[in-house]
Amino acid sequence: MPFPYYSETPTRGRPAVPVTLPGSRRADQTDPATYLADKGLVDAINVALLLGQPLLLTGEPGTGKTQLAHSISWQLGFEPPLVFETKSTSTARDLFYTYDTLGRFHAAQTGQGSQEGLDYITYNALGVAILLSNNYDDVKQWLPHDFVHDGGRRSVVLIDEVDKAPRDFPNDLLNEVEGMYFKIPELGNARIAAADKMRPVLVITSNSEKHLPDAFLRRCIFYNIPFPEKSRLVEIVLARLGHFSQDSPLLGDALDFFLKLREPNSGLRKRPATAELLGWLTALREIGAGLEQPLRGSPQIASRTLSVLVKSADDQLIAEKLLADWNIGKVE
Amino acid sequence: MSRIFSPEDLISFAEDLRPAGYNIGTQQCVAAQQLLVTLAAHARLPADPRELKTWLAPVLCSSAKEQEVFYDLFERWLEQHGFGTPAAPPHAPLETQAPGLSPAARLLKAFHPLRRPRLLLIAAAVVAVAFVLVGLLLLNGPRSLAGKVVDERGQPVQDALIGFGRRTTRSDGSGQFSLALSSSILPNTLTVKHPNYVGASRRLETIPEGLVTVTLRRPTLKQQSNNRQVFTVPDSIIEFQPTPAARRWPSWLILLSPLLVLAAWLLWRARRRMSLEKMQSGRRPLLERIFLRNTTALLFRGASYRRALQELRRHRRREAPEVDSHQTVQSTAARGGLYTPVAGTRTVSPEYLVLIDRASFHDQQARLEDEVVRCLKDESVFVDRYYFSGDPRLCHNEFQTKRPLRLSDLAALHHDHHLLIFSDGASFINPFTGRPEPWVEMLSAWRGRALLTPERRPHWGYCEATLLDQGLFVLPLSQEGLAELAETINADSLPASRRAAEHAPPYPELLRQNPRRWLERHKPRPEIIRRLCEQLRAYLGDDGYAWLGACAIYPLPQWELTLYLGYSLFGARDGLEEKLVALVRLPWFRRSSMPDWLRLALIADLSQPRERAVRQALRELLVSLVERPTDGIALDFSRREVSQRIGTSALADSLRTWARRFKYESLLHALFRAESPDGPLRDYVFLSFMSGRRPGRLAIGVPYTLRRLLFPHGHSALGLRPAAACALVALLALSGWYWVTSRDIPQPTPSGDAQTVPPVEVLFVSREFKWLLSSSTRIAADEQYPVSGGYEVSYYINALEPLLSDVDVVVCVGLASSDGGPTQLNEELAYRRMRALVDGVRGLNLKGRIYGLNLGFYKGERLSGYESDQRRVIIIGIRNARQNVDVEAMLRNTFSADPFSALEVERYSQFTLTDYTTGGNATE
Repeated sequence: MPFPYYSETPTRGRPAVPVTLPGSRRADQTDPATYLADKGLVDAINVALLLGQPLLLTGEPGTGKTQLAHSISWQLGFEPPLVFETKSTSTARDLFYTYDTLGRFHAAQTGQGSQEGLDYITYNALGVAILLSNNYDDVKQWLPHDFVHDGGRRSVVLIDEVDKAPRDFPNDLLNEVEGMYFKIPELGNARIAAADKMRPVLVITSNSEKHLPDAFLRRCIFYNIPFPEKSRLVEIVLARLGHFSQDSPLLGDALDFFLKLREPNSGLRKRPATAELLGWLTALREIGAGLEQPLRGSPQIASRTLSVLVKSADDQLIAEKLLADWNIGKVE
Repeated sequence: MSRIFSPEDLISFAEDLRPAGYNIGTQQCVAAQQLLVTLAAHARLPADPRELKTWLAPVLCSSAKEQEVFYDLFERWLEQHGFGTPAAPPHAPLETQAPGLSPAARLLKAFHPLRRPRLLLIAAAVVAVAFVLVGLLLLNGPRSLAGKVVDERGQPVQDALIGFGRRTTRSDGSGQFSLALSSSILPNTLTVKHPNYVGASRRLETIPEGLVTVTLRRPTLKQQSNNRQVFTVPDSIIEFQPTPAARRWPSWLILLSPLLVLAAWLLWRARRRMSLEKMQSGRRPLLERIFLRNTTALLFRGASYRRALQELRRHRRREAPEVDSHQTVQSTAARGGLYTPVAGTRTVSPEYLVLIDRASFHDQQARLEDEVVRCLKDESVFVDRYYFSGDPRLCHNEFQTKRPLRLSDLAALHHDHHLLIFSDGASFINPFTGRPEPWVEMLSAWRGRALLTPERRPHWGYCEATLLDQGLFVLPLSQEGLAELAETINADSLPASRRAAEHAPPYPELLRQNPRRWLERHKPRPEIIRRLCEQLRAYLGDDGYAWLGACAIYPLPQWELTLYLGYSLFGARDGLEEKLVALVRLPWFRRSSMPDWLRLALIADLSQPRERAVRQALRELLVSLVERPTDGIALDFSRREVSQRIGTSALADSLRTWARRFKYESLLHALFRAESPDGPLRDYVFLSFMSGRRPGRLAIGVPYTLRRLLFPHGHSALGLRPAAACALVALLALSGWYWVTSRDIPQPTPSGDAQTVPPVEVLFVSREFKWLLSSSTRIAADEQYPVSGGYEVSYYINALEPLLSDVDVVVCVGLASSDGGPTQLNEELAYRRMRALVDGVRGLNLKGRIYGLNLGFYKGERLSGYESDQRRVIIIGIRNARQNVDVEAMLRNTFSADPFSALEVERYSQFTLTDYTTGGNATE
């Protein structure tokens, strides 16, 4: 069925067979094999790996901080990273495990369900990584029955958007992250530490380093991912979206308009980043924009996909005006 | 080859980074060292230490800002410590990375010649070379050769053709001419021609100064005998008359003048005094920042303040979205096994969102409130700080580097914070309706919110009461106020309002009515100033008023100086913060500008010993620059003599300064006020020099000892430093010398002397012959010579021999013509005829060189006085021909005169004279 799949007036009637929709393109955009890191970032990763310290990444949203953890895992031949998505209510303990106190209590009260305390524990990203770093025999007494332990191995742990957590969160992590251990009071204050040779690789992302305490910053290898230059953007697009070519008029115009939107005086409250650019280019292709078709002169195509680039109503209006001006050459 | 970057170097580098704001701990140093060792163990330590920058940055940096400048700092450090020069252009030294300077200013500072002796030398060399080139260009560039053409009687000759190389011109009615020349066409020959005169020429090696006088002469008939007409052709003369003014200045004076000026300049420069004074400019000058020793203690460090601030850090318990298992077990057991869950609690640190009302970037009240925030941070209180100007609906971060945030954005970002607003709250009330501004309600997004006002509690009025009604907890900005704030937050409720117990004088009524009026430069009436001063004294007290007067001595109010002077006057005693709160609330401290009329009034109210003490304290502070502190009191000033301004700009600047200094006497003041059309006038502190005078009351004298420190390469005056001035003077002297010597060109002597050298004679052997070409044997006779047939021809030709035996040049002027037809054929035919004639003459035994000159004409054209269809020849001999005699011009002149004037050479010649005159085609 041709695009658009959904129309304003359903004149076509209900199709006899369900419409076949395209698969998600996200997998293409997040393929770790196509991740391009600049030299500073490469060195920072190597320093973190050499020193065995957490790598703290900052930078604008959409500059590939989260994807980097996948790229590191891929390049090191590890399993995909274990991800901890920080919430505003996260505590340091949540990074290692959560315990279903209520369930345990209920089981104890009613006599139903498992009477084994271990069955009410759920290990989270760093907890899993620490357990996996040990041999099975060394930690089997702490493993719930459904925990799959495939031998001592290393893992990459991603603590995403640590700045979302309460202020105390990083401070509470200091010793545990440095020593790579945690304690479980619910299991008799058991202490589980990572095997020395198999310490997890920790990648922490934050949109800003401002809310992180100095003590925490000092324990991390820090790298701020700068927003890429235009030429670098082209390389990223070519690597991530293979069907584009370097001299594609569509790509040239799209980059031009994208960089206009990113200019400080554009008026946008939230400037689009690389991830938005990749999404936008994909959207443009989806609605039928040809690679050889310049975007300038076809504002309706860009207009229909602007919502991929700008995410608020105010910014939408500003972007529409910028697009109109850019299209007639008023903005160079 | 670069040396190895060792762990010792790393420690040294880290030490140097700390003053630049890097918070590097031992742990990071150890990690960096470990990194170097590991790299070395893996044989990955780069040979060029500069490549380590991307390895070390992630370890030593902890913010995006630090990372941004780290590479530059590292390369610069390596360069300074003997690791070789970087491939990239040099960067600013570490100390120039001090905050507060714009990137452009840092760049300029980095490339400032004072900091780059090599650059200075290169720049001087470039300027010198450019100067010499320009000088040579001016000396050898286009010049004009002017003069006059006259005849032997001194009468002007019009339409004389003057040529020099390819340039030509003609003399006007008065015989004057002017020819634009350049030295690139030298050497060349100057020629002057006129149909009625003998031409003149002269070879020139240089372009002479002064006027040229050309005297043209006519050929004259000397004798007529033996069938010969002998014309005397005198030499025309070209003479040069040097400009009288050029020789008026003796060479030594020209050489000495720049040296005398230099000596005067050096003397004047040495007598000047340095001072800091306020001046206005619409353009932001290039500001330099120096750091002076900061001996002041820190504010809000008293025990009572610290206790109050620490209270704000106290952890609090908050409800958590989870069950408290312990309490739940207990409560369930207590209720006989009935499940009774109890919500858990979590201990959290309180966080504060601080909004500071900042009237300007240099608002000292905001700086004071910054100190409160700094103390809170030092006590490990979580604070997020933003600034607003009157209306908090738009807030900026500290440096306004990001887009402003709306109040709703802040509410979303920091909804669980306590809101602390530092402001007097006046802008929160609509002055017309007396009601709170509508946006005040938006502040209710925060559960705990307080306003800390500099207004003292006894003078709270409608504004404070209204804000209290709006749920805003109003507190005085004092130790009691902060303690009360902590109490309120810990109690999590609004306390009962307290009564003002203390007595405090009111804020000056004059200032309250119209605060902006007192910032204006326009001076109020003396009685108003007196009233204002009285109210200020009453408000601040004697000590506070003296502090205000002390602050008026420095040209611009500045936060660090205010503190420094306060500590100098009163020491670090308790209660200083309260005085400071009252002081910095005044409009001059909020706007960082104090008009001179007020400064004078306040300084006048200072006692003499106190004024001396304050000036001494300021001088001592300035002298601390000798210690070269890298942190402390930062002073921004602009050097008026900074080498950006040179030449006329510098001179204009100096004049402006002079006019400004005497502005009450000088009418120029009005003009110079308008120096900067591109912006409103603003006050800046300038480091100026005054010639021989003591600084006035509004200026601060800078100790002489700092001169060498501030100007290590010599300070400039009129835009020049001594080295540059000496170089300039040397160049001027050399140029003057060159100019003088180049004007003394030895005048070329005339090529001939009419008295001693025999004149050139032109002999017209025959006026007219009719001649035959080889196709004919007949030659017609004219009235003088009976000739006929081949015999006659032979006879005649032979008869020429004795006539032409003593001539130097024989010119055969023929009227070889053709019968028409294609031009190329005509030319060929005429050439052959001419050649036959020349060959005939060549058969004679003549010693002179033989030339042919054809004056052929087309058939059918009537030639006045001659038969148009006859072929004629005129044999001309030239005696005493010599170099510099333009035979062609002479013949042309001769043919243009009687008896040949009717020939109209130019008109009837098929070819130009030069085609056949000088050998060439005709004689080959």
